[in-house]
Amino acid sequence: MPGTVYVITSGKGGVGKTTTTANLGGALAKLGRQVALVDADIGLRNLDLVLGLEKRIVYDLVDLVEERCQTRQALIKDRRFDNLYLLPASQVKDKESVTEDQMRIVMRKLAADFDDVLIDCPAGIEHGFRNAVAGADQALIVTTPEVAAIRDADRILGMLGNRRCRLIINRVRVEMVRTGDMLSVDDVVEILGRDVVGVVPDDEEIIDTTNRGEPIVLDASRRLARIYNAIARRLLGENVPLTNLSEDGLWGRLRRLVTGTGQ
Amino acid sequence: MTDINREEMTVEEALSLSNQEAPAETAREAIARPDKKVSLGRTIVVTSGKGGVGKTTTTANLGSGLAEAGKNVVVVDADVGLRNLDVTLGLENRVRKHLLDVIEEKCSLDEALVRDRARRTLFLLPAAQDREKDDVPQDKMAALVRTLAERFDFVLIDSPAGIEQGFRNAVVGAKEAIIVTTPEVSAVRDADRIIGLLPPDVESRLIVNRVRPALVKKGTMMSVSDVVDILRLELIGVVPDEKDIIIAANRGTPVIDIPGSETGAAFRRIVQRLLGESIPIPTFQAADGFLTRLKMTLGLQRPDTRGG
Amino acid sequence: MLDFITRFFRREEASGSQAKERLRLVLMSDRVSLAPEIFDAMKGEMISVVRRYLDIDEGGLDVHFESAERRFMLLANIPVLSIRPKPNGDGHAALVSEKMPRRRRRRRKPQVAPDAETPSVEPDAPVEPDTSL
Repeated sequence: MPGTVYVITSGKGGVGKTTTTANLGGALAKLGRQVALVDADIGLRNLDLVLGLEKRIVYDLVDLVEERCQTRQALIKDRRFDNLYLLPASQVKDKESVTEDQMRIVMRKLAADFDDVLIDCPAGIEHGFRNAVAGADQALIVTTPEVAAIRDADRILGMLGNRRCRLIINRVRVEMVRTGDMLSVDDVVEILGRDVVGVVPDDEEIIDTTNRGEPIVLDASRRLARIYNAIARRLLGENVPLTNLSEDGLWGRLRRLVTGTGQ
Repeated sequence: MTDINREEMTVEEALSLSNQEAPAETAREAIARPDKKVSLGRTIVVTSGKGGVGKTTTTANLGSGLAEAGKNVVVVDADVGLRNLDVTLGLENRVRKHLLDVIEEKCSLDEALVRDRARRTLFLLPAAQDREKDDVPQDKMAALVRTLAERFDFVLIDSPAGIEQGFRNAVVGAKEAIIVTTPEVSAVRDADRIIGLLPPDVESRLIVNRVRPALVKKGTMMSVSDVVDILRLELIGVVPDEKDIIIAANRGTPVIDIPGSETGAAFRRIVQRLLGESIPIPTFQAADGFLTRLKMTLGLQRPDTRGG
Repeated sequence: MLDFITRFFRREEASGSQAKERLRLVLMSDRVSLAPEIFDAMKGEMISVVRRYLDIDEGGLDVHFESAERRFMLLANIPVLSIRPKPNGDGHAALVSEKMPRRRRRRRKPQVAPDAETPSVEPDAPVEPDTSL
């Protein structure tokens, strides 16, 4: 049974595709899956940096496509997880150096050896995007509750053919939703018309973990780690209700303190 | 003709209000007369490499600010297929024709330009939504930028993310560049890459966006001087991260129009610097530690358990 | 200018719902521009329906979408050459005369002359308030 190949895409840049790929991949690995992460952002690679693996790159996606190495040699094992591997992007080549067919072949190879393959897609709709999507079975669309991001997500949804597409709504700010200054999850679902597989709150802790190359899922006590864990379980078919984000805020903590209920 | 309260003023009327000639001209005519002597406006590409760092917001706000200062400004959305400069300025309902229509001579430049509702000398040249970036030939883009520079004091080009054809098209014809980055490793890395891809004669300057002073103080965010040390570009502005940006985007107005906005004020200072004034870049103070101390007292501040 | 000021100071409307409304409209516009074949198919079907009842000047036909501040509209200008005097071959009823059938009324003194024009018929769409500023 070949594994599932997901492309993590968005259209709009900077909404959290790379962070999502890294953390979702880590969460799946922690659940016992064999996971391969692919950085398809040739020329502007960042998945290696977010994972803290940038110093271990020897071969990359373009080397593999041009058959200068074996798959085993290009994949970097992340030693902090049991079964998480990274196929890095090439920093020097540009995106026109790989074709869609070549991507399909590489993804098929990876799907033969892994349960889940997550492809980190570049921003935009150019060659890089098309390459990233080519080898994917399903798509996870990352968006934030903002006008430009949703507009771009809508556009991208029209370019994914018959693939199963689900939403990950990132950087939600509960206080702003409450005051009506930010679109709600329901608003986003209504506008884009797709299922949501995850809602991730805005959290400044992410910046720190990115700077240090330590995916937040490494620390199971963190709120975001629990959330990525929930998303991973939903991908695997489990029916996990969405976390009540407002309970995680100041009042939620106080309430728990007072009533004595656990987290 | 000079009834300034009329909604639909033509490009000619708007420009003639500030004493500038505005011949109707297609891209082809510009190529036919390459040596036309005219004092050219400044052509600035706003780019970054990394997506989502604030290129479009920057373009919209600088364009609005420059127009408010009396300049004739055109902002060009070079993000074919994923346009957003229109919604950032709240002009999405007025877009009829676009950049590709002009280049392919399906309409005149005047038909494609959208005049801003608030600022009479600000115009938008929208991107096409339904075509892909390979459709725009670089030489035609260069000619169009030149035509625009002959009519406007400032041509601001909003570049797409990435380093592909879209980026290359946005850069062609620009004599100056504003690199936008945030104080995060990926953004700085991509900015560095972009700087390396710009032609050497392009005068580049840096904006550090989405700065959160409290996080810099805590040490979880790079400082502005860290970023400048790495990229070694002249700094033209530092813009703080505020929720005003989101509210402004929701409303479709530039954040410089939100009273009391620190972000808006920062963009206004950048406009002044672009116009030649030397305004010192303020160091942003984090909100005082009161809230932090309160949180710690209530046991709500997570203790720092990082090891050495 | 007034439009801009009014729009900005419309504080009672939280910016989130403004965003939602703007997105609703802009996405319609985006989606339509990305599917010209579907639009052409729709236009073709519309014309064939209209042609069963009216002879139209297809050369002067103009069907397009237009977005305004709060509305997204399909506008059709269809020049009519003549109204078909009898049903066409498909057996669909055509307009026989300009007069609509009179509604049945209780017997009372006629308020209008016998050969008067059509009585007022309930409009089936509410009149759209003018929201342009």
